[in-house]
Amino acid sequence: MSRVLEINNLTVKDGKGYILKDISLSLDSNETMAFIGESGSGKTMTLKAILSILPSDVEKVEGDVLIDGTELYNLKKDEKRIKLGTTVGFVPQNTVNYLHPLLRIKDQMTDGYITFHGRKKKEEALHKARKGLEEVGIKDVERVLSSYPSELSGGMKQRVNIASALMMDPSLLISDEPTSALDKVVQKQVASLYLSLLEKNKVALLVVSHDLVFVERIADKIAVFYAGEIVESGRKEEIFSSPIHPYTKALMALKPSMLLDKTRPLEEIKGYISEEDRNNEGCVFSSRCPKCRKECMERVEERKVSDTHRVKCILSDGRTQ
Amino acid sequence: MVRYALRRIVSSLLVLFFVTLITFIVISVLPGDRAVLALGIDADAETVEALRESMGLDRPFLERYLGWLMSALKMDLGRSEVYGEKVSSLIASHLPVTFSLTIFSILIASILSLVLGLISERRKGRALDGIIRSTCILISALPSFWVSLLALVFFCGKLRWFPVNGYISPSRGFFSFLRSIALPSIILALGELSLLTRMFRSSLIRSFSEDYMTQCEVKGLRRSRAIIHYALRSAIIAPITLIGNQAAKLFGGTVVVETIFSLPGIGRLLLTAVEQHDTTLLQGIVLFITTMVVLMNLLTDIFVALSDPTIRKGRSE
Repeated sequence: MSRVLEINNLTVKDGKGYILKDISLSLDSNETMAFIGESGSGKTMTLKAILSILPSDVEKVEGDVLIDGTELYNLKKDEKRIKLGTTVGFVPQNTVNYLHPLLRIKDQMTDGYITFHGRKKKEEALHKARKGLEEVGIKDVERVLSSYPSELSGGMKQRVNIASALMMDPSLLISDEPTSALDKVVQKQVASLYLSLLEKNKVALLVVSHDLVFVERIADKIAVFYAGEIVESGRKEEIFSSPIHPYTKALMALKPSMLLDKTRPLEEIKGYISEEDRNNEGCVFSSRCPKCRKECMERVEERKVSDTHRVKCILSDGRTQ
Repeated sequence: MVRYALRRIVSSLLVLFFVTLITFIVISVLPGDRAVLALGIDADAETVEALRESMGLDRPFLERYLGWLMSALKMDLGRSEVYGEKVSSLIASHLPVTFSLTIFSILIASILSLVLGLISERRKGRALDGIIRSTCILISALPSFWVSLLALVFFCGKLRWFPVNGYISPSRGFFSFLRSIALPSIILALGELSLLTRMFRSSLIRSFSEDYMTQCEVKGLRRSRAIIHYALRSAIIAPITLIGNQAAKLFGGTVVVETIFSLPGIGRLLLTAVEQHDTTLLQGIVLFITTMVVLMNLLTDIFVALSDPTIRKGRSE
């Protein structure tokens, strides 16, 4: 297994302070990592930093982003474009606006391939697009290729987005909430599709999702985000079976289950992520943590629970009572 | 798409029908007897009556209207009372000037506003954006007769870059034709600049902030390809509609510039018709201009529908 993605101490700021703080993670080929956490916790911003599409008012101030061993931010503009275009595939959350409404699907699917292989390879690109669409379970491939996005359903568009992302045989596939804009039936289909694609393609998958059932099915590793930091990370089993950080525990309590007591009210994490949390010297979760002590607001450190399991919490040697 | 085009054609024909009716009513109720105006106030009553009869002015309104409409459908707009020539021939001989002016000015305005809109978008919120926007507003706010006079004195009189007045037909040399038409075209284009630049700028801002532009970046497309094939593709739809409307407006609004630069176009012909109370000519020109405006709007709508499948689909459903 080779290292596809490595992020070391990535810190991103805007005018108000930290957006991402000290993010470190790694992903090998054939591995799947899921980012979980509530909205505004920094999951999508981390994806944007990896894809080098940070908003103009935000800048990376520290850290490395290595894709296939190459530091992305050291590359020149054109080198970065080629590196990202040839090694990373991206499946967006929004199925509507990521496809140009006035261009046919075939033109949008093939233009990346043609950019890197030349106009003479147009037929080859079309062949690859056909194969890709078949692989994502589309039956009337020719009709879809000649369609405009407005002629396709949401689920169909997401399949097109997935097939497009795989056009360049990327070593890293990044997917931002791939099922959130879809209805329940299509969500299940897309989730199954990801599993079968991961079996067939040698690709590392980085996925952001609020759907913990989907994450449990698909992920090997999980990073729990809160206020721009990874508060806990580890193997799927470690996070789901023995979460340590109070925030991870609270998140896990929100996971729907058939065994849930239906008479008990639904769990809720009270409060929201504030600007102060992001710039807190101590634990970013301290303002909402039910176990918070005075020292939590002053300091925080990352503890190594096992070779793969890490947590940012000082309580009880990392284990909350 | 065919159904949509047919529907638009039918509605345009309806508009044209009402335009002919309104034009005919308005011109019929204008003060003054056309026969007296043609013969002069010294003409004796018998001659005036004979002319009224020959002009069909003694017939009922509806009969006169239907007669004129049927003739107009056969491209016969009557005979000018001042020139003594067929109105259709007069329009045809004056058309190339106005047509060239409209085409050149809308071309200049479109290209210039696209470039300025693109620069303005790329430098959004910075000094250059502000300079472009305020300069465009300032230029468009200047009255065209004043700009025309200044340009005439400076570029034609002092620098002698362009001929002082008159129109040179393309058959007498394309370069000479271009020189004769360039300055009035530029002046007309400047009047359209502010609105078009603002439209291009706002459409481009919307287009550049769309998610598909992020996708272009992630796919590794070259910036030029992303701009031309993705951003401009959708940003151009709204300005095209505006360009069509402005071109139609320009076609009937060249009177001032044609008069100052002594260009024998439709605008000047219209002015002569009004000054000389040549109602047949006036009626013919008004009908011709409105037909052109309706036709340009129809073509613009069809072109926009052809380039935007979402509009096409929505309209055909």
